[in-house]
Amino acid sequence: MKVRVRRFGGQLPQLQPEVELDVATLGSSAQAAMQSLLAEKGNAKRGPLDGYSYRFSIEQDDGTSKTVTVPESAVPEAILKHLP
Amino acid sequence: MTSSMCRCFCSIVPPYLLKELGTKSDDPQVRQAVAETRATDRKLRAVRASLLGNTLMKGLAPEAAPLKRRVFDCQHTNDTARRQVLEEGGRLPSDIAVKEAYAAAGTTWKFYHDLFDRSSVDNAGLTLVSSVHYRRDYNNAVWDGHQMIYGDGDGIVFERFTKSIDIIGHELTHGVTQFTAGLDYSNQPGALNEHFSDVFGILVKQWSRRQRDPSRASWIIGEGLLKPTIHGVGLRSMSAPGTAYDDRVSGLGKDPQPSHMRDYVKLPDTEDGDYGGVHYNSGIPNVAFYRAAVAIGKPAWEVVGKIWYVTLTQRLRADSNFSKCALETISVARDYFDNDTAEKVSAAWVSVGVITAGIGPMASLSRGNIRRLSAASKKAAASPKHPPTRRKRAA
Repeated sequence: MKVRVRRFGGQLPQLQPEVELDVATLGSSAQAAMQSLLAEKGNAKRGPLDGYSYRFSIEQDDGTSKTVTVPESAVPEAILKHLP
Repeated sequence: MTSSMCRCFCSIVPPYLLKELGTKSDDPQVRQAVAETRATDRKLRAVRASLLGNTLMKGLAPEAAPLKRRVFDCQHTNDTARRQVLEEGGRLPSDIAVKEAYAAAGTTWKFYHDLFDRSSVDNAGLTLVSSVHYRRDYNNAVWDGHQMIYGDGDGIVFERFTKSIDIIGHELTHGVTQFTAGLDYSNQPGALNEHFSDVFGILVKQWSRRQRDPSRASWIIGEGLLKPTIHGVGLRSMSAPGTAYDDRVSGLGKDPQPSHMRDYVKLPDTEDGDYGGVHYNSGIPNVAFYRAAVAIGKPAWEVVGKIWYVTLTQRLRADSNFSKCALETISVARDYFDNDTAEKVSAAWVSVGVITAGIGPMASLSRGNIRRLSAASKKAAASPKHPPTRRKRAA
């Protein structure tokens, strides 16, 4: 399963780096954390001023895509260490 | 019920209920007591307003609370309380980031205390907590609503974020705004939120370095944060927005801040739109502040800084926009200084297109006037520019 992750916010918000994570290559704790994160509904509340937020996007088996945006503080450490 | 009993109502019963009681009660004693209570309440409000006005920047400060600081080492994780390494009065460790975070928090606290009689960011003695070495290669500094968090930078484009005292002053001022005007973090109120953080961040630096001449002082936010190989001087320029950096090689690109309302950047109020361009459009009021400071000529923290402080803490509210801010700073300059100062503040706002020419220091702050006088800014904001979004490796 591939998940695209895009970062927003920070001191220079025009910089919005994007990475693609292959969840299968992450450790078991990161895989579980990712499943839990993607199970979230809608968008989480806004994070701190000047802070980062991350948008997780995934193509689902039925051809639809799912997107979840959360503040940095809501991203588990197991995933966060793979993000910009 | 006696009138003495009724005085207990003063701070407990809401005004609308008193009004109901005063007009609808069948008991003449109740009606009389309510009338006395409402009269007393009006007098107290008048006295309170008078005290606030007469005490200028001093306000009604609480008992002086001592400076209290704590510093944590995240040890490159996202755990902001991983290990406490320093508290107030403790022995300084050799870690430069710890020392910088501790010192700059102290300088910012002293700046607000000495100049504005403010007791920490909440004016109630809040302990200033800093967490350093947050994550790895982290290019950011954040006020999370309770404390400061600093990254070490990636070492390629950015230095460690504790290196810049104005960034620390900027982030702590988000706390001051949180406890005062509470400016919404979107569109023009959000750009003002960023603007006030830049203003007091730069003033902390100028004050601590005794840069008394505004025309020669540093107006660069994030000075020293970019590595020497990067073509730039910092994150933002308050004197010349749009010129802080221009480095295509690293992926930073060109500083996108506008310096006039005709170039106002209209972006959606979403995370990818920087909540309506709050970090872009803060360049416009930033220039107004800089020009007012240079025109007035005295150390920026002595006059224009005080005007902006009163405006932030006493005149603005969550939804205030640029024109409201402009007119309030003019009003504060007139009320606390003189007409000449107010004229210079007015001219600075006119020069960036937030208000139209001819708004003198005697301008009334009626709703009608604010609507009429802000026509220029609304017109400019209606035909905005849309900067392209970059996805670069510098992050």
